Amino acid sequence: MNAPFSALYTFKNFTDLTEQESDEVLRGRNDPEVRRWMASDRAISADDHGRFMSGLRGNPHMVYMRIERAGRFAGVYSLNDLAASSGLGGFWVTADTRERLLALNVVFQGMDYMFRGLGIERIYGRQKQDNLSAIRLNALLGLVPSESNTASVGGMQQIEITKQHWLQSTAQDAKLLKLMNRMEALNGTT
Amino acid sequence: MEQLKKYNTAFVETVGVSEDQLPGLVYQATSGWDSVGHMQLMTQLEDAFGIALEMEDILEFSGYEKGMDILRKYGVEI
Repeated sequence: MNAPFSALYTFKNFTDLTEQESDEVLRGRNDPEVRRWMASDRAISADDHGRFMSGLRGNPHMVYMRIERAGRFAGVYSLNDLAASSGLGGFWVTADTRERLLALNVVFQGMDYMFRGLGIERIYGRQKQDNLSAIRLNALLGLVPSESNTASVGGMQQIEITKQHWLQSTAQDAKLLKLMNRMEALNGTT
Repeated sequence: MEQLKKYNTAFVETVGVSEDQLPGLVYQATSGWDSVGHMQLMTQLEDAFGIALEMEDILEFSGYEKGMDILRKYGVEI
């Protein structure tokens, strides 16, 4: 079964981006409205961006996907420390995506692509225990505290989700799908 | 009174604040009322009042009191 609305979304590995697409990623990432939501609000220089993009080629431990919705750049989903089909998830969405209330949808699509498109078996992450926004978003997406690592270090808690849980629970969650469906319908196909 | 109770309940359950914090509350003033919380609030209000909000109104729904004005357009008097 395809993810809901998946026809609207396209994915492209950073290693395959055109120069124009790569520049758009850099501009989006450096938008102050995007940086304010990130762990580091430092702007990335064009040189650093170029080095980062080059470093991804041939690196089996990192994958960065550029996500478009209806032909418009919407955000990035990434996996780092990738090993044995398990990786540290991360994402950011464009200011436009956030303004259009599509952040949840874009992150959902990014994770769905990782599981169904790339065959990833497990995504894990960390959340600050006082970050209500992150906790709620992660919970909606089925990311739950790790059974194998329940200790909180420095107020950070490890969370994870398996492909099986994604397919059998998150991607079938009627309430979540209804929420995302409503936002897709409101935004239309532009 | 019943309408106000439904309206307040939607906020309390989605934004994660207590009822006494609702007057004057505006979008993004609390971590619970972020873009995801906003989506949840809008859909809960739609379900509670049996309405379908227009995108323009969802984006203009910038605060607790402003929301009451917007719902009035849909025949919901709070």
